[in-house]
Amino acid sequence: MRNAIPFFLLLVFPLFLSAQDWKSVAASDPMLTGLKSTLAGMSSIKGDIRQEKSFAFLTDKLVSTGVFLYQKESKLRWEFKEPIEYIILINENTMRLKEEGVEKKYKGMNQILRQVKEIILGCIDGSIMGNANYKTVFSTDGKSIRIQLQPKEKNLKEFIQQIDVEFMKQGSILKKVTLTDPSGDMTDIHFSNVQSNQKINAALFADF
Amino acid sequence: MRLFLLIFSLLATSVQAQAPGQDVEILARGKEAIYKAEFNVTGTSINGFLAVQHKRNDVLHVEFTSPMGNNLLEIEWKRGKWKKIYATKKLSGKLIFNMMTEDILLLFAHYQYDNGFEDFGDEWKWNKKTMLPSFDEGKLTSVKIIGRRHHPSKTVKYKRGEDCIDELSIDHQGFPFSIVLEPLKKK
Repeated sequence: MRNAIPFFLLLVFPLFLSAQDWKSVAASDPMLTGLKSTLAGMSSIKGDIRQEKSFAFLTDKLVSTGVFLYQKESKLRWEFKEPIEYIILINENTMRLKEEGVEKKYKGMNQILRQVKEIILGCIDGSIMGNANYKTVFSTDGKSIRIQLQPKEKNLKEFIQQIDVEFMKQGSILKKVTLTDPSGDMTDIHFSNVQSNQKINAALFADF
Repeated sequence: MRLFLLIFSLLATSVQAQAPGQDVEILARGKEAIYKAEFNVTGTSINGFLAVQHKRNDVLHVEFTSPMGNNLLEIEWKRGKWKKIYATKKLSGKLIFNMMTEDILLLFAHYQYDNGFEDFGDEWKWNKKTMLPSFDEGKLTSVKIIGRRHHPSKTVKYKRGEDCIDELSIDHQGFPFSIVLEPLKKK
């Protein structure tokens, strides 16, 4: 039993350290106001995406890869190339979907798509930080800024349990978004090669 | 006499579980797979991925997720009953849910592990339905499911590649409902 206690502490201590890595930050902290103002100054953002969906009952993860392009205001091209071709095109108030070369009509799925649109755009341009539909907690580990959002409304809670958005402190670059389903399953979206304020061909938001 | 009956019943059970030379296994016990999935539900096409785990003969865990990663449906077949863990509104209506869950058992031929399944060779009986299986070189290629009115009510098809199933589908006759699955990782 005496031998078991140090072994137990050895196991638990790294978790304790990891939990302490993130320190909460007040909404009025200059770090956050700086992040908001940098994001507000970005006219365009583009980069690569790698989405990893974990299933609680599977050993395998579902990995999707592609690119995203964002242009102020509210123009987004979210394109998965693998394992299937899947494009979401948002151009202000319109939203279109294409899967493996075919444009899809999503009658009856509008509520889900509206939420998807609000979450993706909100994470990229940072507007989700001020979204009154979510209870928000800010934290930092020194290198990154993390925003944890939990929906307040019942219909949103049925759709998502929590959203974690991480930005690099240096340059306010979007690093990772984690979506936690009501079932507890998690989807991690990793962003890489992120570039801001680059010229993007407007036609890429107009059509597939 | 009792010993003879015991041996006879054990032999009968083993014959029922799998007819000799016929392969009806779609996802073997202990295996898991992720499929590209298209659900056509009364005119609405819902695309995504279907993750399936054949945990034990009486347990099948299924999750349908959108390409963006959010859950649309999570269900578990355990001891002859479906447990709804999560279902989006479009898929949670009683008629659609019951139809969809039965179709999933049919697609994965999981009915063969159910106590109510009876194998009469060219004809199977399960859940008050008559099923007419077709085989090609000993492998299951389609199953016609005949409902109470003695008309084909739905058909399950398996497109087989060289060493795996390339596509599984179920289509309802006279009702706009179908499911098409394509494995992402060939098993």
